[in-house]
Amino acid sequence: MRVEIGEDMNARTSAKYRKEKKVGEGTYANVYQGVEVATGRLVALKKIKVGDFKSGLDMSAIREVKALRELHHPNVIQLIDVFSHKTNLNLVLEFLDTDLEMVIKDTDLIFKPDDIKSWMLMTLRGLYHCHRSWVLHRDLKPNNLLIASDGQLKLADFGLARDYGDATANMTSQVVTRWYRAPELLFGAKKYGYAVDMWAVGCIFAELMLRTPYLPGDSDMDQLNTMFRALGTPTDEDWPNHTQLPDYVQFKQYPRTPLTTLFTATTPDSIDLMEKMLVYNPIKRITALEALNHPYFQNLPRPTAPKKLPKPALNINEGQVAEKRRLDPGKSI
Amino acid sequence: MSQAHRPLYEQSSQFRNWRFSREKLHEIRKLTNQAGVERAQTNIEAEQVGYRSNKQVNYLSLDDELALCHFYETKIDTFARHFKLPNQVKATAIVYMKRFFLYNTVMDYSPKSVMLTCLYLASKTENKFIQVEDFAKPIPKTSSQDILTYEFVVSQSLKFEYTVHHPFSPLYGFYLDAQILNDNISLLTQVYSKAMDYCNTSLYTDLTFIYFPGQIALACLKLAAQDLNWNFAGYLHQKYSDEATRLALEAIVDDIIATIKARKPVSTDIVREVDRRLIYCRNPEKDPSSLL
Repeated sequence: MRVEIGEDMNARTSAKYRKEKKVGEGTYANVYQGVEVATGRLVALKKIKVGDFKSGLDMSAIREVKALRELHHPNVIQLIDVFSHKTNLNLVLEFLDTDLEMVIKDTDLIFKPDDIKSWMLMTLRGLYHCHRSWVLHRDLKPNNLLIASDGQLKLADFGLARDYGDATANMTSQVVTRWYRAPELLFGAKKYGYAVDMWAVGCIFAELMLRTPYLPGDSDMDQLNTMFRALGTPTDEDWPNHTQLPDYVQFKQYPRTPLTTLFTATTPDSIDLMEKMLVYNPIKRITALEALNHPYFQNLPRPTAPKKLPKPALNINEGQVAEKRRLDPGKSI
Repeated sequence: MSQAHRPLYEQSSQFRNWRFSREKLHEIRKLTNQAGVERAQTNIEAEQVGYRSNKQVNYLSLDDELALCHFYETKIDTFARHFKLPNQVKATAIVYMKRFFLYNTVMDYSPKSVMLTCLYLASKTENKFIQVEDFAKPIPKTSSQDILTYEFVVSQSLKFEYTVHHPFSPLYGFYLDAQILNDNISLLTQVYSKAMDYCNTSLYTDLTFIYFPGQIALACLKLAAQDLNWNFAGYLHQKYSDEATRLALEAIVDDIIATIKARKPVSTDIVREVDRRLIYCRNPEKDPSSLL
């Protein structure tokens, strides 16, 4: 046996991969397509420019690495390796072709109820695994649900994730992309839990049916207004003490309209599950495990097998797909 | 998928990569120390080429290294208190330092600098982030850059596995659980608080590498129960009706108790002596002021 010091281990890890071409550019990282030299397996290399941060390794990178090192599940993106190079941190992730946002926006694709059920099932399985491992994702949206070539959906982008275990700990309410942000966060709650992820899943469920974002607010204030117009303004009975939340503001009292008026073509069991995800009171909101046990997943139709799910037409150069997406996020390809 | 049926803890990096037998732990450290001495020796001799040096270098033994590390581990507590960091951050920093010096030696990396970086890094990974300037300011002869220099080196040696499981959460679980079975909550609360102290002591031993956090917590509960006359055996009986399980668990618990009781702080005389010797056997390759 020999022992290997950290630096040597790092150099050996680094040598295992070859970077090929840039496929995306983000605010804090660039993403490259690469290969694992020994096997030829495609990987995604997420290169985080630590040199730009005067406090060293930044919190997003730490959060992502910390969470993904512990999570191993078919519906959570696999972090294969981590290594540093000069002042960059490199995450080696499994390479995934597309994401749910691109699927939703591709007007050539037609979704059957069985397809939606399949995506929901995979999302909830991945999320339940996070939650039972004490991890809050805090940024669920179609763009962060990546899809592998075999159709498996995987939760990705854990840059806002953190471990959760102490219900009394204060956390920032500035999490989750606005359209998917739970009402307690919009009202500035500092103590919250897994329910924030479930609200986002409810919004994604609705988006899969509507093929357009369900609650697209222009600002944080407009987000609440949009939400209340769609789902009714909560009363103290719906959600006790919510008027005590730090950023509470009073809104016009919109009536609650039944979801069936907007979601006309869908089954009662799916409406029931969606309603339970979009419950204002976070304590009453359905959990990931309860959702997985909901009749919607037991009733017909059976969820589509991942391989058979609709997918955007395969581009000869997958890298370009992702690149196009990053540069022009508003348009479908 | 057979993995789904195994306990969730077995997926954790702590279970997969940071769990050893006592023998294995000793073997790794022994090899790390030997390799460290060889590296330092080679480079010190290379540095002296062309010089005539009669200096007899007295390299650090494994026990010397452990004494020094142990001393700096206890310093983490002092700094954590100064920055008003929660116990969780302190505990994680101590484990980071232990993990780091499993595969590295103090002849390569100054234990004081590594200690500071471990605490700074733990403040990030445990969500209690402090600005690096604020962190470095009150520490004499230490700049922000000194703290950041080792951040990658430490992270690499931790295999970028930042999650650490401590006995505190399971202990809290036992405390809640025992409330269902006990009516004297006030005594139980005293036992819990005392057990917490033992958990803190356990951080300075090798137990984190050897046993599950829940097992360490249970042993700390037993130690506190002995001090305060709480019926631990009764609790164990109620929880585990199967005698074989109970016996197996008690053997583990007793070994943990013996380890916690045997822990003593290292004497400052020894630390001072080792620290003085370290000046002459630092690996010049890692020393910015070296000629190499």
